[in-house]
Amino acid sequence: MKNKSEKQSKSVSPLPGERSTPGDDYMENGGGEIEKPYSPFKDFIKKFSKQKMALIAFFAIAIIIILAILAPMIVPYNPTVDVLSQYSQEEQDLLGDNRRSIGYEWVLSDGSVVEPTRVPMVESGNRRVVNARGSGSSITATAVNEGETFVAVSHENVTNYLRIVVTQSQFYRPILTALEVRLGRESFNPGEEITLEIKGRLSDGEVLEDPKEIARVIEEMEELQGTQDTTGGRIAGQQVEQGEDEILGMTFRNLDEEILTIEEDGRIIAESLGLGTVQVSLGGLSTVVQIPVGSEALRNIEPVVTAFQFEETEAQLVDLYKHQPPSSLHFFGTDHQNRDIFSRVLVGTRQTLAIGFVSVILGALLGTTLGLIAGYYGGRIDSLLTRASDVLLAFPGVLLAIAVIAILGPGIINIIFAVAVFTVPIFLRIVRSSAMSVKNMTYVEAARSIGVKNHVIIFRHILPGTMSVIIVYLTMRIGTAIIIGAVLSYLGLGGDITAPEWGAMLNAAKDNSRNVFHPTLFPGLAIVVTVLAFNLLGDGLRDALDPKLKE
Amino acid sequence: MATYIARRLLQMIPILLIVSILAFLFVHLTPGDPIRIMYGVEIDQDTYQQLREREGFNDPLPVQYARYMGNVLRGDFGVSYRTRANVSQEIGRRFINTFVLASVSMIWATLAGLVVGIISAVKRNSLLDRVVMTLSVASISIPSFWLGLLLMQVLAVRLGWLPTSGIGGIRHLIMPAFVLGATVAAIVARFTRSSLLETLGEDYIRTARAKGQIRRNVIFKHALRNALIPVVTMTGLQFGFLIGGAIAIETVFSWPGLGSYLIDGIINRDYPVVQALIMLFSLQFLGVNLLVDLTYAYLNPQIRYS
Repeated sequence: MKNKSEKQSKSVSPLPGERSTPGDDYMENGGGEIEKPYSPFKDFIKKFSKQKMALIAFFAIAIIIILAILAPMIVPYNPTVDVLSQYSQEEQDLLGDNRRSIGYEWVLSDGSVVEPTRVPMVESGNRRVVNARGSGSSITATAVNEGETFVAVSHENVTNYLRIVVTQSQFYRPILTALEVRLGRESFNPGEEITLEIKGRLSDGEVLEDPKEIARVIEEMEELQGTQDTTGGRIAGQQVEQGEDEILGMTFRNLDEEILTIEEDGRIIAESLGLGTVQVSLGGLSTVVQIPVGSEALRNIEPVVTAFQFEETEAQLVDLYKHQPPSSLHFFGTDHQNRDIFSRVLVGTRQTLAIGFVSVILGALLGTTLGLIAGYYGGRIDSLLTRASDVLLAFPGVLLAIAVIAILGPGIINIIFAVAVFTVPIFLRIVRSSAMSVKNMTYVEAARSIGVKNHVIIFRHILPGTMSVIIVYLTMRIGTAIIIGAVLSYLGLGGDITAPEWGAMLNAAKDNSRNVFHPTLFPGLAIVVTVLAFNLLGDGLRDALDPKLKE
Repeated sequence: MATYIARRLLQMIPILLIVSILAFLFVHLTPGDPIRIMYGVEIDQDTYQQLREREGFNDPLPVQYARYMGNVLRGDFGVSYRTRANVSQEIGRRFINTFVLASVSMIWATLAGLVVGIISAVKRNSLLDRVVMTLSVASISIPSFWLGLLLMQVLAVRLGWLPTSGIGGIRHLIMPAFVLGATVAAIVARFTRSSLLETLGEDYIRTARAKGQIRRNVIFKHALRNALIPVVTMTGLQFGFLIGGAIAIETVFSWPGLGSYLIDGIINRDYPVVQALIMLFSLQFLGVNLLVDLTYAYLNPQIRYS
């Protein structure tokens, strides 16, 4: 229909000035009546363009091929080298910190804030997540691995926490960073029980007063601790007996035995005049409180350190040395050797397509030739070739390919051969049956009757007749070939396991990136998209070229 | 039937012969000297010659082949170059693992594929039908080993519901069996659907409906019986391919079966292991194909008399 209307519109609007010539008149009449010869190609284009999925697949494959060709030029990073040395200055700023220095000062018992005079003890809650060390004026935390933990900073009897998160987009969960203890009264007399008010300061700045709330946060924090317990060992003293309003696990330690006593049940009693000191610990955190007994003691209090005041109590770090998560710099993240996965996937397209195309074309060439011979000549050579291909077809492709690799040895070239070997019998079989049906057509008989040589008949007259089947299978087998190639290189049979090849990348991801998702996800997605595109295109071609092939 | 079986068995002999010759020649075709692999590269020339003589590599090839096949027929596949372990014993130990994995995968895949395929065909063009068909197209484009890696990440590493790998109880079996069977299930579902749809279009189905049979009876008594004949064949053939797929899945989940043994053998150039497994796998496929053909011949008398 479309062709016809095009033709008519062409004939009614000829070039200006030629309208009145008699020749044109003739053309007009004739052109309208003579049907254009049937063009199988146009017919195919028409049928094919009706199939949306196949069209999408066709353009997807075109894009994939262009990407493969341009890959070395358009990769953002060198796919075989650690990205850390490849950053420009702007990129470095975008990255976030791998290490952070947090300044601190001392808070004394009288409330004043002073410059520290001694280096604190600094310990990471989980050394697999973060490394930490302290200097006279700051604490430096360095990311080691993805995760969440805390850093314990201690000076004498005081321990505070810093919350450190390394490349994690998990829900926000503040931790307790410091304990604050106030006396119920300004001073006490001997014999009196001492009352304390305890508050917990969270990493987001909030202050908790409800003991139950504090206990809940402490419980959550236990998960953040790694295998080695760095703080629990330092808790000494008497366990407070569990009461209604008490916080679970709180301990008091008496630092001046002469002045105060701590009862079994956790009550603190003033004994004699003087300045007593008690260390209060909870969940690894600790602080000290000075307790003056008698008004005399109030006057000569020498302030002690009760807490640290940090510039910030939370730090978000990025592990820049490996497994960076997907970001605007690395769309697919980085792998265990900190190589850009996006670049590797792009470059890997080349090898994958090479395996797919070369192996299938190789197998198709051989299979088609043998199939034509078998189908055209028939007889003994036919039964021999058919029997041989039946044997090969009895084995699943993967095993056949593995057997070929076993003989040739691992390597990409050998994978191509291996995939080609099991493609041969498939083409042999379909081309043979197609050739057998074409062989009996009248035009082949006519050609033979005028003495055309056999090989001319095969390549001039029979091959074109089998072409549509070959093209359909060629497309469909490429998808299978890519999968088998990926399986082989995943199994370590591709030779170089560090090469930017999708199957090899998945192999490396399994061994080195157990706890990280993106190194496994993206190379596999690339395989799925490519294979799906070839399969859909194959389906579309089959429907357009030869609907009989369906089932 | 008996003559048919006999004929098929006879046809297998030349194939097995070729496979055995190829497996035997394997040692001589591959680059790398077996003596060097067995005893290391540093041995001097004299020792090398002695060892070569002792291991029988200096005999003519037919003699070596006869000796090798004699041992194989007695169930002796030699010893591993690397571990010096008896290959036959190791295979016996691992065979059970592969067999369990393959059978469980096959059983769930067949059952699920049949049920889903029948429902899809009966409720043609329903939402379920379209979802199933889309999934079955997708499943042939998704490498099963990658699906296995993803499941391992999510179910084992992140959520901790299932063990990551290795062999143990039923919990160890869930992921590999699911992944291995998924593709087969999709193929069986698709094939059952198209076969049942075709049968439902036959004249005798219309006749059955016309004489007043209820729909359920027509589907289960008339259509399904006939529709399942090609499905049986197809499913049987899938079993062979499932064992091929098991090679990758076993490696993914560190399943100590024959597949991972083969891959280790190839990477370590452990020839006796590779030789034995190639022959064993071939025998396995030929056996499965034979069983499938016999079932088909039993179900369809046209075949056995042709």
